[in-house]
Amino acid sequence: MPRTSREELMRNLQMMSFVLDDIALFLQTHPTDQAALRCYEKYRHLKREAEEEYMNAYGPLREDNVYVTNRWTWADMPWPWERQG
Amino acid sequence: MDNYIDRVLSAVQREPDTAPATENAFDNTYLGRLPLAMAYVPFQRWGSIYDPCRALQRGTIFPDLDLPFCGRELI
Repeated sequence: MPRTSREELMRNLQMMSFVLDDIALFLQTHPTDQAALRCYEKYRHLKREAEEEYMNAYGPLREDNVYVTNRWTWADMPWPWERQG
Repeated sequence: MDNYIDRVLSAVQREPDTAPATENAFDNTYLGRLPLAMAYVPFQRWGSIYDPCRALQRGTIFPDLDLPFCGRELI
């Protein structure tokens, strides 16, 4: 199975993040809406999965995701916001 | 929760409907009965949402709020 491209995984993460942000906006004015809360939980989970999928394949998304051994690897790979890697 | 617009309407004394019926059902049902010069922001209710891909393309997860302004009318 071909490896999913970095762009595709980033796009997936962006989609999940966007949905989560928009649900959060709804919840600001509807803090007890049970359907919205359930939906928020669902997409929070999906966003976390998307993050892990990206990081497992293409490295840390944020500086504090760097797994520190004996070398600082944050700048070794293309940064998440770079188009070409 | 009951329908917001219905609550607004029930609080408003209904004028006799003398205007001719138009093609626009929404306008007929709601806007035509409301007092002039008052602004309303109906409280959003949770409904269906777009799938994530479409949501990102449209800029909202809510079909109810997917109302691009084209300089003429709502589409």
